[in-house]
Amino acid sequence: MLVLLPAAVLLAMAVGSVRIGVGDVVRTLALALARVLGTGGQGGAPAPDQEVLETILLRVRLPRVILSCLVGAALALAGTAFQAVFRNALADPYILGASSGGALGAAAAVILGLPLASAGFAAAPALAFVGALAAVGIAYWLARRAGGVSTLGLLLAGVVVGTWASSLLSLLIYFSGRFLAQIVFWLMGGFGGTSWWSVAAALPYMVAGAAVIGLRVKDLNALSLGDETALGLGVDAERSRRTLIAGASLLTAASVAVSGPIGFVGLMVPHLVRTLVGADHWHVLPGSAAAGAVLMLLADTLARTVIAPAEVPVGIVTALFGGPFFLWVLSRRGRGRLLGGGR
Amino acid sequence: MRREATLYLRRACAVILVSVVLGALLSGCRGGLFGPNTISVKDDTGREVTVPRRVQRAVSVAPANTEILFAIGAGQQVAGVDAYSNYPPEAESLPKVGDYMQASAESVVALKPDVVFASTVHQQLVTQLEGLGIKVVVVEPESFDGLYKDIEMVGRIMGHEQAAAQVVQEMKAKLAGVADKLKGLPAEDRPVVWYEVWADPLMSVGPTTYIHQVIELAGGVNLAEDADTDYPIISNEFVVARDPDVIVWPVFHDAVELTAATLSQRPGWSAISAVREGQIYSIDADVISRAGPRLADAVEMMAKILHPELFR
Repeated sequence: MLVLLPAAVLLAMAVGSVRIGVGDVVRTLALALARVLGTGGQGGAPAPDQEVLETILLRVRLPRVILSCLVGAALALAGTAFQAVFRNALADPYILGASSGGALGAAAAVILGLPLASAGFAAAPALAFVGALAAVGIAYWLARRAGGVSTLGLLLAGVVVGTWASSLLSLLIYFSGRFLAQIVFWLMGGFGGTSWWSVAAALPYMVAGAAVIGLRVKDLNALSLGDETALGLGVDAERSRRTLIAGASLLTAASVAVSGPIGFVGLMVPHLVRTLVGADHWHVLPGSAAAGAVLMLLADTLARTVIAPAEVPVGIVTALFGGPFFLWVLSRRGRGRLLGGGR
Repeated sequence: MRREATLYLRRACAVILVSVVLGALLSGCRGGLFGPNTISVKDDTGREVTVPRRVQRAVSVAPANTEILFAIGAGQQVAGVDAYSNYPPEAESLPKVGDYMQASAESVVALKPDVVFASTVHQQLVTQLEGLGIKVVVVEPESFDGLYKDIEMVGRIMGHEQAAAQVVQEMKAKLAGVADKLKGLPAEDRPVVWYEVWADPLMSVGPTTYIHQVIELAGGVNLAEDADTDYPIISNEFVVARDPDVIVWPVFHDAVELTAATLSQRPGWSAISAVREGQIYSIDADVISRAGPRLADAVEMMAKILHPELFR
């Protein structure tokens, strides 16, 4: 998996709506690296064609490639965490309403016309981030008021919040008029407008979320065995759950903010990885992150090349190709290994 | 020894002084001998954009903007368009940068444009292109007056001010011609028009759209004039109750033709005046929905449909 990543990155960089050979890619990347490290680099402005090449590769494609890896890893990690926390094979990162909340935020931003008013700064990701976190927060609060944050209570609250946000979203869409197309496209998810700004904006939250989850590998294993067993192993189930949900929600909110709700990766990648490396989260976590990154990268590369220069929403690609691929892996490795050995 | 050092020092100072002065002069001379070589415009979202005075390469990601560019004679300076820019025919052979909504930033960058003309649906693209240092001017007028101003603005940017003014004059003349013939038309002679954007759900145009303005300028009354949204979904009963005199539907790719026969099958529609009298007409969708130079033609077309006796 980890070996696949750099190869996939190089491939993704070389491919796109504008033809650029691999040699050019390597040369441009090397030149840029040299400039960044302060070594080499010729004086004077590069030739116009080289400049166009650099702009495309370094300012359009590279951030996009990196972001798709980050989002893929983030969603896969969040999915893994949620599946362990809820002990539910069908849990995905949006189970607590993050995608609906994020969508509501983004739609509001588009309709209020905020993005273009403030030079360059795009309000849609910011509002989407806030919306996603708010949804999860409300779900958690509802579950607590209903009496105890058991897994069932949380799931129900998540469904309530998600449905409620979705219906509000439908209402907004109905009145959106000329903004309809933009909102609908955002809902399909994609990396179209990615820039270094998006990467910089998402990175801190993703690192934070990943750290929170990564530091609790032991808890993940314990929680998968049930609350009582976990307690016996010295893990405070409720506190642990809360922290893990917070971390996973950070990852999910950041992803939804920069690329819209992209489904499938968060749900299937953990299963995929578990059939390959077993159920121990020491292996599953890094595996999920790497697999999620590669999968999303390949999906996005396909999404932006198959009908270039137009783009297919990434979510469609991940589901269309991911599904059969997952089934193939399942059939190869035997169904008994789902969730790590017949539970 | 000391004298040599002083001499050297003096020479060095002189060289530095001359370089500084020359540098200052040269940088100040950036404006060139014929005035500043950039102009600043305010686009339809209120953004101030500074574009080069003589734009050599422009990219348009909206069909209406493409039409404007070609109408003012700037066709040669257009380097790329979106996939839906099909008018004039010359535009179709230009390199494509994407769909109407999904333009590929890479393709735009590769065309090395001096300026990109977009519309308000391209929020994400605009932000992205600006981040890459490409100038974007958003053209999306809300009325005929706004359209005239925008055509003139595009003319200034592309260096075709006279041609742009000409285009605006011709448009105004066409509208004036229509208004003239409609002068003194009593309110009851203005037919109620049902403009059908879509059949299922039943959708028409609200008062904020161009199409509404075209209908009004052509001497008609838009059935959906009281709606709150741009493209309201109207109920069957409302249409039947308002009893439109004329039904107009836009011809676009894959459009389903509306005939008296098909319309009579809708519940209650057989009683509608327009259906009974066969007053069902089609109009070119591109002409009426693009805020471009052909919008005045749309008014003339609609006027002929609504008042055939006045516009032979």
